[in-house]
Amino acid sequence: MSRLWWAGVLCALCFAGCSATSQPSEPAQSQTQMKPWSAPEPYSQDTDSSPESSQQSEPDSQSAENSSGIDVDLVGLSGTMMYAQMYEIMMVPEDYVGKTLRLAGQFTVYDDLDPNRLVFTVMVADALACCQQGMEFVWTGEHSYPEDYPEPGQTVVVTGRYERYDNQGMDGYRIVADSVSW
Amino acid sequence: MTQMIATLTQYLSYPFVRYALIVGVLIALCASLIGVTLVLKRFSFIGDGLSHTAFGAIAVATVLNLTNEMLFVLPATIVCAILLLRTSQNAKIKGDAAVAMISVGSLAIGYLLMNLFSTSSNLAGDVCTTLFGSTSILTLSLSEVWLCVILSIAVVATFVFFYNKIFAVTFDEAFSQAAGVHVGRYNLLIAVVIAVIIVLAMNLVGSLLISALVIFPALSAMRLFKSFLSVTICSAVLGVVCAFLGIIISILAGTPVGSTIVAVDLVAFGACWLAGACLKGGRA
Repeated sequence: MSRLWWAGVLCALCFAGCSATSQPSEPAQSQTQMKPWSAPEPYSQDTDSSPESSQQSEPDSQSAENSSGIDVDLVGLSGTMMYAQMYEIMMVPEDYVGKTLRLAGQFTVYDDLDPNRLVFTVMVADALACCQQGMEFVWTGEHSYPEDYPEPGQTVVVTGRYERYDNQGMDGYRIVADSVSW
Repeated sequence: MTQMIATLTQYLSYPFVRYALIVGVLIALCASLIGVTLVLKRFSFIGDGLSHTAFGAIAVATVLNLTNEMLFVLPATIVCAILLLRTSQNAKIKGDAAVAMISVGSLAIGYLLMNLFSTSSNLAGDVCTTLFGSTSILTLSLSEVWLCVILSIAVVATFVFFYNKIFAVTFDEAFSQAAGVHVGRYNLLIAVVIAVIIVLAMNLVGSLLISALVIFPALSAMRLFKSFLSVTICSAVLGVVCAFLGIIISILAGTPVGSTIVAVDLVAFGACWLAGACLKGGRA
């Protein structure tokens, strides 16, 4: 009888501890600063320069279809999924060349001394925040650093076409961004 | 709830998520099957010891710049498993002391080598990922998936075909030997199987949490059933379900995969313990 009583108390504690208020797709803790983009939607619909074939064209989808012409939308994915998708893009970049990507992460700037240029990237961390994937982007149009760019470390949303380019004789991959918002 | 299902359906369209679920379920199945034997033979912590040995082997393979680490890690772990399991009867350093010695020694030597001969720009991240298996299961290539599938099928087939002998060796080695069973050979087989499972499971939950995959399903099943066959089947079912749920929850909630699976295992153990207590109280 006493065992049943203790079992009942434990069950009651378990049910009392459960809450229905937590949201299902809580981002990883390293991503909590990404909350700003979920409120006013900064992405503008007229900046997509390549509205080619993004609408649900492939049943084996590595892309989330989107009516704004985005082939691969990493915004809104959980932290674990975002990191995994970024890793996938890094491992098989040729599968994504020409596609329109949208991703969010920390804005970082690197000084490439040879040649002397600034490299702008979006960094995404995994759930443990011990590993990061970064993706280089170039912002189309007339923009100068640091006046027109966010502060390093700030969360940004970058949308643009993934392309291959020649990086000192090696293949490099980056996003040609039509839209950078923060 | 509808939104969660829609999100999950979207996530399942990603190939790397399907790979993770396939490999995770297979690894959990293998680990839970062999876990019953290990728990009954009082070798619950051997998973920990072997995983730390595998970590040390990974460190050596990284320092040596081996393209395919598995070529070194798997044989090294198998040799260590054989040494631990086969020599436990006659060794001067027995059982838990031998496991502890090899476990901490490999971990320390592995981390020392990675620091002294670092080949990575993110040493802490590499070590952290190896120890905790953050998103490793979601970053598998197709060839790695096939390797895991083949090894898992081999492990399950071994367990099924040699079930009776493994059962005999688990419960009473002396009687089995007297009855003509080649105990040494089957202990060797168990050692090899454990080593293979440990190396595969490092991708899923990392080095530090492997023991949970091996121990928790078996212990949970033992709360509910008494016969070896029932416990084994229940352990397999629990292991698979917990791994599946753990991966799903982690990708929905953005939590580390390994820790989430272990947390689900823990909850399942609690539930089985409660259910077992209620059943026992009801019978009394």
